[in-house]
Amino acid sequence: MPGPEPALSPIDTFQFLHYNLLRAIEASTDGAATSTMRQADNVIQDAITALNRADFRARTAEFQQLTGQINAQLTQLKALKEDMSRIVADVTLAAKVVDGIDSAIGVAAKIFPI
Amino acid sequence: MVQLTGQASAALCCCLLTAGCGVSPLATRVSAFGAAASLIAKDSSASYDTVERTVYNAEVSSLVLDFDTKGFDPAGIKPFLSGEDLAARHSMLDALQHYATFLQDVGGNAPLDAVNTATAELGQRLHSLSTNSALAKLKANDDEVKGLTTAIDAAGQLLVERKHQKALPPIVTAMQGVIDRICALLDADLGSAPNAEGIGGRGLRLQLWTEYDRLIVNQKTWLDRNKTTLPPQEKADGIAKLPALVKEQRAADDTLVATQNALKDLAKTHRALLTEHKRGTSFFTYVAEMKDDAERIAGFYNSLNFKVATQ
Repeated sequence: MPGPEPALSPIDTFQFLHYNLLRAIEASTDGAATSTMRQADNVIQDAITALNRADFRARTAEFQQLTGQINAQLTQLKALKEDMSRIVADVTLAAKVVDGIDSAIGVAAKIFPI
Repeated sequence: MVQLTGQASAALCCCLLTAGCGVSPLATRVSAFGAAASLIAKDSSASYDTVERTVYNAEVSSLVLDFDTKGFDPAGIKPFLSGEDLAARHSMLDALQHYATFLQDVGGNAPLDAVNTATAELGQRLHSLSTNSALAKLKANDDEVKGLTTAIDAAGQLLVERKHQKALPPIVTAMQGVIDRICALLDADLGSAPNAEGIGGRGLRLQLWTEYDRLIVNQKTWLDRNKTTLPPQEKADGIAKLPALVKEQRAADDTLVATQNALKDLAKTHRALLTEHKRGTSFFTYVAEMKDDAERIAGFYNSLNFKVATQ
């Protein structure tokens, strides 16, 4: 023998009402009846929105916490990127040093011919 | 002295090349993942914006329909999510986007290309030095300069690669739990559309679905009110909007579903960054699928026209 139907949650109850009103509105050909049902449906949709919004609100703190955790790893990645830039900077500096030596030798050669 | 340097450089080159330079599989995977993850973060952000725009359009549609009886109440048009709730999500997605971009930058060819560029410049300077007339007696030749430059380039690339191997695995490992949680939370936010009995909807998909319902109801109400006075063409156009809205409602929901699927792939692919060392092909298949899905989703978000349905 099947047990009783499980009770719907509040948000499902409002969705059930909205669904049935929507079907009635779609089938209606009477302008006044459509308007009346639409007003009732607006109230139900507002209730669905409020419950849904509360559900989002309940997760907001965890989103904020996760942002902090990502930012901590971003600091590590930033340091890695800087380390790599330093390697390139060292080679660039070597090129500048060689360039300086080249210029200095050119000047020295004019004064002290090798 | 120059000859010694040439020999030493050739030997160093051999050692470094034997040690294995070039972008490692891990770095390549990390970079490919970063590019695809960046697109998915953008798509997730777009899903909130899509719902907010649909809510706004439905509110405006109701305003137009009720203006004669209710007038205009500026407080009547409200966003779905509060500023704080929406900002928390966008901040998290921005941080995820930065993570993806950093992975793409540090794992890709850019650091090695920068080393190549810097050593090419150094080689050019060394060549100039070797042709300095004052050093003519030292007889440095092009091959020796090239050998030295190549050795320095290989050393630079090796250093970059060592940084990859040392720094990336702990970062990726630390992020796995965070990525799993992000994907689960975003999946909860995306939620589900109502089922065939009209119940079971949750999250953004529920909100998007009911906002389209509101647009459909408003359109139907407007038609019922005006059907006896509308010119035939305007009436036909108004009626044609009803199935168009139903079609758009399903397409919009399908896009949110695709975003949910892309998020599941994101968590799975991030995990594969460190575990699929020997199965690189399947990893890149995941990434290619993620990227294709993300681009297709972005295309749909951009294609939504969001016109107010009534009138």
